[in-house]
Amino acid sequence: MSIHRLLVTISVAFLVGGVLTYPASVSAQQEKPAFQEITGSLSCYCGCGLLLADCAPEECATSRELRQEVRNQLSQDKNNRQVIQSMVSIYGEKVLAAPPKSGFNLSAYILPFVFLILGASIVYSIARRWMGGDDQSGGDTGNGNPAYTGDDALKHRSRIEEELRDFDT
Amino acid sequence: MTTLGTIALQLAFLLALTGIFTAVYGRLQRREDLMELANRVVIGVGVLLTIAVIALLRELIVSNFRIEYVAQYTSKNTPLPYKFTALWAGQDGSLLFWSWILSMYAVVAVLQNRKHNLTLLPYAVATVLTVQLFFLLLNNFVANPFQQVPAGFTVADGQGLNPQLQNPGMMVHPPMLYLGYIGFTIPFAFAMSAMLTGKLDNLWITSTRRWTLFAWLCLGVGITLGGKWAYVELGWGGYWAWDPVENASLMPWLTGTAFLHSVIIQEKKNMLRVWNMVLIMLTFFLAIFGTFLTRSGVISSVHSFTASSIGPFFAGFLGVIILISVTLLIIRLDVLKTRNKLESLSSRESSFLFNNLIFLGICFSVLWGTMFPLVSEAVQGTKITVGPPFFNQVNVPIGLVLLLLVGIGPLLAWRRTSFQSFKRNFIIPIGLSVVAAPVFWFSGVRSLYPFVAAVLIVFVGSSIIQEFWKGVTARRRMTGENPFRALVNMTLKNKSRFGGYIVHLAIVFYFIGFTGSAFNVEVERTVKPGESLKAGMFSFEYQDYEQIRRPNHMAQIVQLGVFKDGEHYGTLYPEKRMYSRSNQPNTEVDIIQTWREDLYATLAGVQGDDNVATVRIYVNPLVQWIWIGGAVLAFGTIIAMIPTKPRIKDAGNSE
Repeated sequence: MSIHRLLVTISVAFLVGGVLTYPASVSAQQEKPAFQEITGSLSCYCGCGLLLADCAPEECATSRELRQEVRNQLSQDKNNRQVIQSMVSIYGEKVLAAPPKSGFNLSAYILPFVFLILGASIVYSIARRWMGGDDQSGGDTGNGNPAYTGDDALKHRSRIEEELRDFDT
Repeated sequence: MTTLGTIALQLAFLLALTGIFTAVYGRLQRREDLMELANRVVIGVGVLLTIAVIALLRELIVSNFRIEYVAQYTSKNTPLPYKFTALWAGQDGSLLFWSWILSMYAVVAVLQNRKHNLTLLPYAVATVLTVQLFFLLLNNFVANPFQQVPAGFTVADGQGLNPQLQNPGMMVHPPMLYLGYIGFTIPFAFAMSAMLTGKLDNLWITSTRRWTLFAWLCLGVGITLGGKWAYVELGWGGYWAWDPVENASLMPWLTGTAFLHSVIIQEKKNMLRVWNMVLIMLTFFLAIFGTFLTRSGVISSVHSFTASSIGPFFAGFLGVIILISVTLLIIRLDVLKTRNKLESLSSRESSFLFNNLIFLGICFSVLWGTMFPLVSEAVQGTKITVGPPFFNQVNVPIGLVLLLLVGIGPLLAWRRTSFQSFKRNFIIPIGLSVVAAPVFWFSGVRSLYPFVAAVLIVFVGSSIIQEFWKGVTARRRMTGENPFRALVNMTLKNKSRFGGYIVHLAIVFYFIGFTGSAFNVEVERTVKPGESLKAGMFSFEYQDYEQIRRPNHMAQIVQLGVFKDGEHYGTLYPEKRMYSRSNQPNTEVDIIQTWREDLYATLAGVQGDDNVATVRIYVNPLVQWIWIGGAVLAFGTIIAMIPTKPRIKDAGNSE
């Protein structure tokens, strides 16, 4: 496998693997108390743009109200998922800090990666075109000798040295 | 002074209008006298706007409440430094401030280029003056900062400055952001001029290289300072909330970063000429778009203090500049296209292509997430929230790929990387990462992202240090200098390369800080005097309480003794303030900062006769590295900006 293929494979595997395992990764990271975890996935819609967990209740009536409702729901022995569902049924989807991964909202999550994958394909095909479909010509052979011979070697060596001088300034 | 300021603004408007026609006509007719006149118009506009700014500052300082803006953003007891910063605290003043900075930039650009860049300067002047004219239009007719209160109406005292803006960070953060946003106007103007004149070689890039770096530096430092302000002022223990306005500042910085990388390819190999044009246009659009988002109120944001009905003007202006610049690009497309040649995918050039893709990918995901509430409302009819969980989920993996590229790029050779040179350059960073991985794992870093980030930090950090090490060793071998002198001389001899590496090191520091946030601990508790609470490895004892009246607010202060393993570690004094003019409560956090972690305390309030206090404690590991990263980023960029003495005298470029 060539170097660039190896690098591309690592990057793609990392991206795909990362996105797929993200929720598990986050939940494994810290076992937070239920109240903190729930308020960390809800948004305070007072206009502050913060998570409910971060919007100070002493300064925000919306935060106070939402926090009280979370406490009420928790006191009914509901689990985190049920509490969040109840909050959505009371306040609407806007109370969620991130769009649910269903229906049209799924596009919010998918589109950035579609952009990247399409972009990578375009960059790759353009790069291949610029290489003229020939990935083997010229360059450093790794043993210190250029892949050219005779006059070509001299010409290219002096050109490389000239360019390297330019890069250094 | 009010009349003087108003007249100065009106004259500046007329002068800018005249200057546009003079510059364009002068260039078309090749009349140097008219082109020089346009240059003098730029200086004239600068002088007039300086007079207007001084006039407004004077009214703010003397508390002339007959002016609406002064009454709205200051009061008699507003401390003097904040009367000064009130210049950019509200819509009208900040637009004047914007206009003024742009005019100063234009003056410097004219003085820099009037002698030796006659090809590009006239149309660049016309472009800058067109942008200037738009802002002067707003200053004069839409958001005039010298607007008087209605006749017969007397304001005894002003409303005062928003307490959250009464923070030293706000003296520097908005001006830095403005310097960044506005700074991209100059490279954009030269790019437009290149397309208008058809002189599409590298001249517009070399003429604006330092301008781009400066704008990028200011925007980057401005964003970091904004994070610092949010961290110390807003009291929620974080520095980045993915707020639409924060996102708006990040987007042009990302495309600007992509541009800074891809112009290197154009300068070295005459490739990517169309792409660079697209990138600088995009960066400028996003800078204006950010201003539109900040001021239009189309998306709710914590920065709502500048929201107004000014949005349609910005939307219209944005539409016009997109139309003009895209049309120009299409017309010049054939000339811009060059024969691009890439020798291998495993080359420095190719890594730049992929880093551009990643920067644009992050930019797209931020834009898409920011706009998604509007899209959702239009498509589904329901308003939804797109907050930090979304942005983190989408951007963290892309950001880590970017970090990987920061490490890989400099290790790849130009043209082609052979397996031997790959082995030679990568063996130490990969080896260190392999050694570090189990160390991180066994010390408890086991979640996917923090673990990968930690390993990548070692990889990238060691790859950068290796580059410096190799350079210093080679130089010492040649010159016999001591290591420090060799490091300094090597860096100064090769400023753009090593300045760039220092910036990469700054990015590593930022990522150290970001990774630390995965281990934040937060505790909220109501405690009586003498009681303690525990957060992470620390315990916090509520020791004392006092109430103090200060000139413009009343403060409740609690004293929290901090202990670690039973030993006294420090003392925190979080405050809750009530500002007298606005009657707004405000928390003042207190932080014990070390390079390992921040102990961050906020006071929700103190109640009852027994002074029961509700406090929130955050233990935030590694946050300091973000601010260190900001300083290192500034240092590296300044190094890269230092001019290099040309080896051969430029032959001049006038026609």
